[in-house]
Amino acid sequence: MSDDSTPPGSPVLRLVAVSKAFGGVTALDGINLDVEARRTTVLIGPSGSGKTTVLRLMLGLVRPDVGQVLHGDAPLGTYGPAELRRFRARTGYVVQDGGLFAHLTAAGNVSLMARHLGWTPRRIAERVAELAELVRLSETMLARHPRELSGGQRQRVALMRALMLDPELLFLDEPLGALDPLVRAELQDELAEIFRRLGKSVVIVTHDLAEAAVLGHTIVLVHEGRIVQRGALDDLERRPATPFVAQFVRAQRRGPVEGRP
Amino acid sequence: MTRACAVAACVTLAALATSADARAARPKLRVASKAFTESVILGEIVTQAERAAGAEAEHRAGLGGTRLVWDSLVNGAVDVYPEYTGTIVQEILPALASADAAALERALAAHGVGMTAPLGFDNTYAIGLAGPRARALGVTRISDLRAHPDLTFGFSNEFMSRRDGWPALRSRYDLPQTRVRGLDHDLAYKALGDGTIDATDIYTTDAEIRRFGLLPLVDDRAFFARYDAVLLYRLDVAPAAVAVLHGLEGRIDAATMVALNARAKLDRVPEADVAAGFLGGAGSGPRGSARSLRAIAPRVAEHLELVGLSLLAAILVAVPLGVLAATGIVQTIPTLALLVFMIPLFGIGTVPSLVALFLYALLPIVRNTHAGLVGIPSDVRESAEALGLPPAAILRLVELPLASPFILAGVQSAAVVNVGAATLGALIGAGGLGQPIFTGIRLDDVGLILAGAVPASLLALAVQALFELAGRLVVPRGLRLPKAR
Repeated sequence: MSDDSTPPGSPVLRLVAVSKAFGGVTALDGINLDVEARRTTVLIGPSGSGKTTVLRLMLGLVRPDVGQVLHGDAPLGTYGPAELRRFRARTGYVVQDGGLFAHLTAAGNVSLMARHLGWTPRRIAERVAELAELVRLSETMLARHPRELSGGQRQRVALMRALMLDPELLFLDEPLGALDPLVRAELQDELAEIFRRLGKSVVIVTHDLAEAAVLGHTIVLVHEGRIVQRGALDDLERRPATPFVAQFVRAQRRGPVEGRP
Repeated sequence: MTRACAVAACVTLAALATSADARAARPKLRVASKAFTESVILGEIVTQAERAAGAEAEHRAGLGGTRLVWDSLVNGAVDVYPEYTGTIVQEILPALASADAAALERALAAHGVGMTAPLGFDNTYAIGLAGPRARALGVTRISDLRAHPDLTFGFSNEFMSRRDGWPALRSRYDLPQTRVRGLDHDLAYKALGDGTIDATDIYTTDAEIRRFGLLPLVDDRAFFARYDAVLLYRLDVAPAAVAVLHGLEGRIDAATMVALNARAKLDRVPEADVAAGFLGGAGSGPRGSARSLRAIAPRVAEHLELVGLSLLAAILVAVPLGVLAATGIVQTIPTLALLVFMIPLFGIGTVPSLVALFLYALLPIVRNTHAGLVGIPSDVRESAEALGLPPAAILRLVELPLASPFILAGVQSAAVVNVGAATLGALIGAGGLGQPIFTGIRLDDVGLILAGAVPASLLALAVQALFELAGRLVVPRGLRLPKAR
């Protein structure tokens, strides 16, 4: 468990020798990964390398076949349903494309869990206003439904929803993946600023090395269910651990990578 | 799935059966008749005679075919109905060794049923040809038909299948005709008139013999049995009521019956008034009242009751079932289709109709609820889980609202289909708009058919419109917006 007194860099959540297969196909194979307190870890790799599965394991949405996910000292696997829900409430998760609820307004999406927990309307309104300012979303947009919002606006709403309960951990899966390049560049800088200001323990999944360099303290390169290298962008460029790392870096340097994984 | 459905069905059946018991507790004489005019007139005569004698009596007019009405008598759903001796011997008690009256009485008593002496006429089968056609062919006896193998026969469905019907007639007379089809008895006269068929089975008291100028062929090999009209009644009927039944013995001769039939079928006098005229009393209602708006209103009410109650029960059972199916707690939706095969006869009246309509309505609602829930993208579901919401809250706050357009569409299609299917309820005495339709077919009265069919169609359209409206209330606005770019 961590709070603001946890020194930056010490592990909040750890994957220890985790393997996971779906229907006989190996997704992750012997992964060891620490989520460091108040730092941003970027999982990068080709599509299908198992990045999203790491996030789902860390939320307890799926369980490891082998190994453990440790939250502080406690394995997530020992949590009962209520305990797991408490853990999730303290963890923000933005799925690819935002995963907004189409039947609720932007504000309704953001405040759903707070309302379920019985927050007062005043407290909810204050928190929503605070977050809207943080992600720069206007009040008009808050009253709209997801189908009336642009891709960038939907991602901002999804981020607000993940941050509503002021979580200790924040997981984002390709948060900018579906956006056009201009919006994407703008949001990259904004996200980096938001993470810097909030000081949360963040894990981001992306397939874009430039994005990883802008957002992350530590870059973790995943390939075919294994971690092939971790470090700063500089390490990956100058001291590639395997020929694949060198090849991946070279391919990304050839030009900006756009579109979806 | 199957077990959950069975439990749900049992609960509903039990609830419905309780109300049925309450209904059965009333000491009322329940008269029934088969689905043709003569039987309805006789049933009406019995009912009015009983009422005149001070008994409380109701008439389930045109309840159904022989098997249904006989079964209803034996299992106690009705107390008395008019029958024909030939039908009893040939159809109801075919195992009877000897046809003498004493043996018949004993066999009936074994079923808890008593029989009056004949009412006075023999309504036997005959083969009828259009008069001019018969004269042109020179046909007067059934055996003359052997010389004309190209003739087309159209027989009532009952005559096609009964033991003393077409198959036996054909072998007795060595008839060569191959163009033989089954059709509704009342439609057969029309078909004879326009030449679609050349011959049909008729009854010797049919009003149509006169109306259509039919020639009944001589049964020269004495094939057809006697069909003396009698009344069958349950032996537990009160003696006073039985006495009234015996009072009708020998009172109706063949000429009288043809006249009564003609009054109802040709002059379009309601059977109740025909019966009243025979008994010497006043008519029970104004002429042609069956077609007036005031007469249709209660049918519409019955119809709405059938559709509304069955739909409500189906929603209450099917939506949870669909949820269970979607969560994988119960599996294999298709087995639900088997329920439809579980709709044999639960009996007669409103309750079995409700049960049948309820079962019919289950499938589309369960299927759409399931499809709506399963169709929610997994990342949306995981987003809800990741918020830390418990499963019940996810279902209530996220999944059901997102699935609501599908669920509503399922309820809508169940409702529209049930408005149509509920007309069939009239076949087992549940009333509704099917009643004027089937009476209209029986009386060859297009106006009466339309009096049932038009409101039924309008009702289906209204239900459709109602659900469009309900969509605005039930489906969240965010889901009615066009999809985002």
